[in-house]
Amino acid sequence: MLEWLFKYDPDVLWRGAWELAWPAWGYVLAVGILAVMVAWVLGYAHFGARLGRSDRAVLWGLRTALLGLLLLVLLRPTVVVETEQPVPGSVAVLLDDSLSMNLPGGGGNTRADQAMQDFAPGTGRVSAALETRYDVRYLGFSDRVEDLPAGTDLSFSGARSDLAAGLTRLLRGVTARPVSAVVLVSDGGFQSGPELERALFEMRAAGVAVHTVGVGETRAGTDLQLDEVRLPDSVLRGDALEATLLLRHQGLAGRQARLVVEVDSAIVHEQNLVLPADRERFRVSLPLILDTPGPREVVFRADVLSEEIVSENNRLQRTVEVRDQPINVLHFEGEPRFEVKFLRRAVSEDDNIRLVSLVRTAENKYYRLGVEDGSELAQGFPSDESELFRYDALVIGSVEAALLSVDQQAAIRAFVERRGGGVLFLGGRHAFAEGGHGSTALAGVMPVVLSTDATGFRQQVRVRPTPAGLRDVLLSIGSESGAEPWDRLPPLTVVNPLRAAKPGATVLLEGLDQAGEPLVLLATQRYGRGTSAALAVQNTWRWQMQVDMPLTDHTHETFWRHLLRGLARPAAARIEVEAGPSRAVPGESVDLVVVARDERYLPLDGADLEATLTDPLGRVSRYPLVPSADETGVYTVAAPMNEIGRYEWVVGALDNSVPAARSYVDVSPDGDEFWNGAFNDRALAGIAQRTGGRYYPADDAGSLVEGIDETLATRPVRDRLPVWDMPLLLLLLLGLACAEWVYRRRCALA
Amino acid sequence: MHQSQARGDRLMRIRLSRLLAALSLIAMPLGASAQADGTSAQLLDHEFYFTRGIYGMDGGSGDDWGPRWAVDFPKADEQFLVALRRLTLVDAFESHHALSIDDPALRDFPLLYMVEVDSLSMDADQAKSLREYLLAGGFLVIDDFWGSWAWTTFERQMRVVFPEYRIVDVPLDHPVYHAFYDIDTILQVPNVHQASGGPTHEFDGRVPHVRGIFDEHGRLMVLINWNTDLGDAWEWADVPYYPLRYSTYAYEIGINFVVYAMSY
Repeated sequence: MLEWLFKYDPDVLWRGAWELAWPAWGYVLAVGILAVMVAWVLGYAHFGARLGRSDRAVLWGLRTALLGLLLLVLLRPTVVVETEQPVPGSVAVLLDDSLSMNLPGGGGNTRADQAMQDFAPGTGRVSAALETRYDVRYLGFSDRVEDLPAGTDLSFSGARSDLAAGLTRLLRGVTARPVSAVVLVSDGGFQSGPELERALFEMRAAGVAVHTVGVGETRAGTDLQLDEVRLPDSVLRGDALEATLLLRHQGLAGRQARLVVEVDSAIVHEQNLVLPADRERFRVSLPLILDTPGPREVVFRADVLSEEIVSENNRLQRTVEVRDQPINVLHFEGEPRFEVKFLRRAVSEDDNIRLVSLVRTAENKYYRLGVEDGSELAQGFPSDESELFRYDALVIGSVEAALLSVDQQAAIRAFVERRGGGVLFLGGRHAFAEGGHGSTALAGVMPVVLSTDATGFRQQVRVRPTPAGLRDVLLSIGSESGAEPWDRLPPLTVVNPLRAAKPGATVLLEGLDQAGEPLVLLATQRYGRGTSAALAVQNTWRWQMQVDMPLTDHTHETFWRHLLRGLARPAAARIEVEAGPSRAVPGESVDLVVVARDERYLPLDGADLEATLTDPLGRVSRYPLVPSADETGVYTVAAPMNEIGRYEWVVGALDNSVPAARSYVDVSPDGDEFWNGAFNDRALAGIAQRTGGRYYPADDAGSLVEGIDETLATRPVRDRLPVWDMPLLLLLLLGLACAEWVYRRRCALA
Repeated sequence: MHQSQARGDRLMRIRLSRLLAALSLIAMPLGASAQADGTSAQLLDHEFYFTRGIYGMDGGSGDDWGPRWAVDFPKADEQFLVALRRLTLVDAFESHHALSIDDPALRDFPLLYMVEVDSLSMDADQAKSLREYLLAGGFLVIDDFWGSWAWTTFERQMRVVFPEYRIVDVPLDHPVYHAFYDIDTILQVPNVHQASGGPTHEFDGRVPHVRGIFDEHGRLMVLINWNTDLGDAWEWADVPYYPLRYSTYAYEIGINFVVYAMSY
């Protein structure tokens, strides 16, 4: 009733802003009416003798109200209200066309079957319902995005699920009608990353909700997956490596799995492990030594268990470049020590370590061992960065602080921080605080806390690995695991009692002094781009010489080989390359990022570099490197990779002044599909939630249509509602006229 | 008359030095202390100990003058150490230090000095002990034995220790001659009695040799100074009539041995 009287919902009139159409003649009319009303008043005054004062007031009020209301109607009042109205457009259905859709989806159907039953273009149960209400557009997405006319069959063969590309196509594509809502039908195994994040953000900003429909088994599918392997792209021949394998599984807690590492199809390591609780990502460290130079194909695989729904994700492959160029290590001693001899003996059989020893034998006399020619270290320990940076690792022994100039200390610091080299500070009577290093620049580089004064400490200490040391492949000194190999080693002499490591350092070896107080014996830490280590013993040679160490024992050799190689491993090359991704699908464009540095390891602009790409068929292509606009010394190039197999990037200096750098890309038709093969309803629900849509399991896809209605995008609209013709005003006019007539009759004026 | 007087003086000095050697062994100032944690390891105060090898203490190696291992001991050792400490930065124990060649503690001292090795007679255990010491990284310097008979005797002993390795001359371009001083000539260093003039050799050892035993990796394990007596030059360097030429050479090559032994 009220709505009929007011023509609109009274709330709308109440909340809206009232306006009058107020043309120029309206003012003339108002003045005219005002003049009439004055005349009226004067008229009533003329009849004043026949009417009392109150009657005149009533009649004047009624007539004035009538004329005022008439004036209001003539001015055509409107109410301005702001409302949210659906954006006109279409609904887009994005269908996952990737390989993983062939996996079981439940009820004996594949995920693809589930998807097509409901969303086949033009024929699916839900798509038919959608088409009755909306303009529906279908797109398939995998490693490509395609429009799907009605009746199109999908191949479900795409090697990737590039959802970002599908969404971007919708956002950027030119269509007759804008997309109002998106329906994503997938198993959730799509690539995440910044591009997807950006596309979802834009969807949200455009007010386009993404409704997701999950196809796949809702209950956990039984599967073990090798997620990722962490292994350097390039290693030194014979390096003791630790490959970190990240795994996850569902429904296999407590089961035993066998892990195998193969190098060029030969098994080099086997290990059994018991799988932990469900859905946890866990890591396994696997020892690995690569002895053959060149690109080596390293395969990590887990035996496929009978219950697993996906077997392809039990295998990971990496290509690792095994370098056969020796690392250069400089050992500097401030006095003759047997440690020099035995360190040289320890690594003498390792062709990949070139150890140069510089020993101060007298006050102003140095003895150089292992130098390439007479010019190497001719001036003693280098002060010049470019000379020092020729080495990959430094061992600073019993060298008092005063023996190193400010420039030399700064060069050592830059060696670790900028060049990425490794430095090991070795115990001795002139090392650490005992050598006056407590207040030098080198104290800042060391991974241990130094006292400021010498202590006079001298004790024999047994060396024991810490838990971190037991896990570190650097300290794998024998075939036995655990602390047992260390227990049989002779004690070593400690003259530098280090009591604490710095907060960011890791203590790998420790000991107890005669008072039972702990001593830090080996600690390491990252320092800038390199590694800093402290080994606070002065005679590891006892591990080689002692009578209870059999001649067949190689603990001393192994310890030093691993330690020096580990120190040198982060050392950056003058040219570094990184291809991304390292695993691609045919047709994918792969970026190569090259970093070039000068002799002081500062970013090098204008570098004369050449990049060549060798495809799996052996064809070589040359690519120009483009300097990055954002970062000096960085160059990029991209190339499509169409063939299946291994591609090799080689980047070198045109004048061959520095060794070339290599990177490998494995192109596989399967891509990552089976590594995201598990049904990921959480990812789908997350996308729906972030864009204002809803997530529907496949079983509930029928309610999608209503859901879209409720969540269609709207936009603010300002409406002007004319109210001059509302029934209430007409009734008021009639009522006022009648009231005046009745009153006049009562007063005997009519 | 003069010669017999000189010989008498020399014999007197030799007897005196060997008496001192015996007394020194009783109170060996090792400069080390036992480890309190029961590891029985020696806690050494210095990096380097000039360690003389004791052999033949069962009475089979000696004469009226005492054990042959102790010839020139301890004065030669201590005078050499004075020079070593003065001329280099080697953190050397300043006094004499002798150990039996089959003493397990020898493994704490990677340089071993032995003299008069024509009297060396090792049993199987001693030979094995010495072999393992050297293969583990020890370095043996042999000095003061003369002539072909002494060589034959010594070589027979070394064949027991290292049947697989040959004894070869160490060429002058080997680092052992250049580790601290550059030595380009091998001198025959005479004993104190023959240093004042006349022939410098003893028996038929007219030509001095520096020979060595290398392992299969080419590492020098044994350095043999044959037909020369470095120890006498160290011992008598403080007497006016001992020629500076010989004592200088002896100290130089002795220091080279030490620096080399600590470096290779």
